[in-house]
Amino acid sequence: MKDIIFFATVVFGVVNVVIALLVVAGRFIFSIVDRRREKAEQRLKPEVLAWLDEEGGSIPRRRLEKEVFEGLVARYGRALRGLDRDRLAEMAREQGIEKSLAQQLRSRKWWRRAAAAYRVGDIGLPLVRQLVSALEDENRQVRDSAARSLGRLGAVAGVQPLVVSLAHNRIARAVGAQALIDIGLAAADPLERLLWHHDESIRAVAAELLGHIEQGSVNALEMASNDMNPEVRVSVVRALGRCGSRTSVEIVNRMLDDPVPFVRAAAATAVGSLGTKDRFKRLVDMAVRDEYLPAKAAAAAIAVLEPEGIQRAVRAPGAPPHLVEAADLARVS
Amino acid sequence: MQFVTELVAVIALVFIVVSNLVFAAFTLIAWRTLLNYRRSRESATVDNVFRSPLTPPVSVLIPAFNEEAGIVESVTSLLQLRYPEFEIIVIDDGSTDSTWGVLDSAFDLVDVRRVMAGWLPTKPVTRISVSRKNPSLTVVSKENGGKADALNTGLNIAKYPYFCAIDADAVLEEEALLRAMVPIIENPEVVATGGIVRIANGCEISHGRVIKVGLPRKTLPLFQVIEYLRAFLVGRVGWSSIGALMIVSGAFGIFHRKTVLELGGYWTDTVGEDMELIVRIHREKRAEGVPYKVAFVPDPVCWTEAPSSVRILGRQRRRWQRGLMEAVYRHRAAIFEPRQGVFGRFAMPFFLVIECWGPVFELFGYVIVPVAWLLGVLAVEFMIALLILSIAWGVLLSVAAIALEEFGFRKYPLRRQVIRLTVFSILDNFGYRQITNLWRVQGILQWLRGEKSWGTMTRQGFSQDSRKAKA
Repeated sequence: MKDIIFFATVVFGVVNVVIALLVVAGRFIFSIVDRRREKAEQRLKPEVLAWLDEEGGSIPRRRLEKEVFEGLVARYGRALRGLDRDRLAEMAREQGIEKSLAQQLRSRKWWRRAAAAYRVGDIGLPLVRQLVSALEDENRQVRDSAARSLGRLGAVAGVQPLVVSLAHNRIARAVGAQALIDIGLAAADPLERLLWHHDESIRAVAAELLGHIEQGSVNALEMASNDMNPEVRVSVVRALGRCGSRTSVEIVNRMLDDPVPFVRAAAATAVGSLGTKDRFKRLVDMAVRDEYLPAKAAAAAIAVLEPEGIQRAVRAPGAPPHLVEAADLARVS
Repeated sequence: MQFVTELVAVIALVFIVVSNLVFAAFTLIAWRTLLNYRRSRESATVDNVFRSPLTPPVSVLIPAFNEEAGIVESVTSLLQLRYPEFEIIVIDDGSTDSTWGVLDSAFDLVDVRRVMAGWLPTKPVTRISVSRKNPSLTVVSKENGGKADALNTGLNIAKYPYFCAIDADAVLEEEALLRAMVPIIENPEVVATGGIVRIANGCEISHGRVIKVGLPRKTLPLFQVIEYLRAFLVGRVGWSSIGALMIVSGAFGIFHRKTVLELGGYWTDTVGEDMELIVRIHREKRAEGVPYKVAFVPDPVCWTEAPSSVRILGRQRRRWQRGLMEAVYRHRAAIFEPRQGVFGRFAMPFFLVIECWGPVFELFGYVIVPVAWLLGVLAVEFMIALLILSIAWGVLLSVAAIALEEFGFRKYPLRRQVIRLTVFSILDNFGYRQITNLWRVQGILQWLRGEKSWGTMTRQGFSQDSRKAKA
């Protein structure tokens, strides 16, 4: 028995030491790598600036330095738009950075593929086909980076694949959504088609995005306003609240009578954003008699539409509590 | 007697080996996770999350009881958060100091009449105020009902789909909320996320921002720095990776509001409301067969003030142990329940044996081994071997946690800071660990007696501590 205990003690002691040594050794190796990278960054920053100012100079050939150089160029490119970024992309192509990043997009290591996909968008290199392929990558971060870059490039050819990736939850919704917003009008048609997707959360995202992209989608949104799923109807009403056309006002007004309380609440908020008083009486009725959420939203909308009127109204004794709340909050903000 | 001694020795060894194996595996998992984290830094989606209109707004809830020392600094830090849309709700839980007064002086509060939703029953609200300087700040005053009751009050008034529960003495880094929301934005099945909590004692803090990271001068907070690194970088990363994260720290956690409301909010009859809520989420979601995830993000940083006196630290640890016992025993039916998966088959039994009763085994060992040796029934070699194994493991785990921290984040950049941490990670096993276990056993005794009190946590506040750090 004693031997077993002693043996187990030794085995576990050795395992512990090995694990700890591995972690500590790893930490030292990585700290050396980090230090080299930091030094290279410091050294290369002036070179990159000179390169950007077209003072000449070729890009470094050694792997670490080349990687750092590309990273610095991408970081500077992030802040550029229009002709400046086109010029940067042209320079990057001439100096072989485009070729290098295209190669990295095929790397076996996911973090290299992700970094390359990210940098392509920052520099503005038109590697759209490669980025579209990267949307099928097995790694989530690579797909998200590719989506972001397609958005930054305004790549119309990327709309359909982006929408499909979004529909299948292959990219983060916030990232895909922002990419489609960046691309703009070209994304409207595929998004309208997504309003009939079988997954209600995708329909909701599509509706929400249409409100950020295109005013001409009101007809599609009108049809979607009858969606069976209330979450989708909420997204539709939010999108319409950003449109401001006569048709959208009519649809939003109609949705004040939706059977689901939180849809009515969203409709009331949209009425406030649109600034329409067509159904002011209905709003007052909601603020006084409706359930908590729609009453609160209706009162807030009234405070936006009639800022002075609401202050007068709540001075009367026995004023409806939601109106009092909205008036108080409006006074502070 | 010989048989009894050997039985105790075997139990002790099995106990050490099991916890040893689990944490060894977690250390390796943490290594891999942090490696991936390092690699993904450049292409992280944080900027897109910030720009996207689909990033959900968040209600930040701060329960506060007698927090006049640090509440202004905390709220100031929160108002500077880089996040597209959020509101801050401070819930003054019947403070007897001037918590409301200091907030009023700093943020110019004005009373408003609000309609409470009443989704969750709470103690009566006495006053609701909004800041004139920043209308996204609301201060709710209510009768004292404890932290869970204060959070439930906040849930009744919060308007956004996610809420972030933060301790009143916490200071968040500018992008902490944004980074902690990334798992939720990437995967809508994530219902809760937690970030790493670090000790602020010794750091320079100004206007709600950590200006310079430093180590505490005092011994007790320094031991806690090591403890927190171990708990967050090894424990939570590990549990999260196997889908059984049992606790999202009450100091900084984000939750899906509707999920929490559907579960009935925080349980008010416990001092471990943060752990109990997560355990309940696991249990209910698994029972329903609904896909869900509780994630831990090692990156977002919440700085918090650690107790620097033995009396207050002891009180805190006894309370934590009571909270743990309450959460595990309330949901003990989940243990080995087939539908509960890894949560019921592994995490709950582990927490029951190792975390709940571990301190008792360990203290028992400290007593029984020397006694057995004195009585001549235990070989001295075995006793020394067991002692070395136990202490060596403690040291190695701490050293590994420091190495992980250094490898992943390097918050303590100076060589002397790393050396100091390493020295204290060794010293930690000679006194601090034993007294912590003693407090935990006292916590178990309090739980057995049915004690429910929180006790008082005296804060000195960041401003004071920062001045000391600068001096």
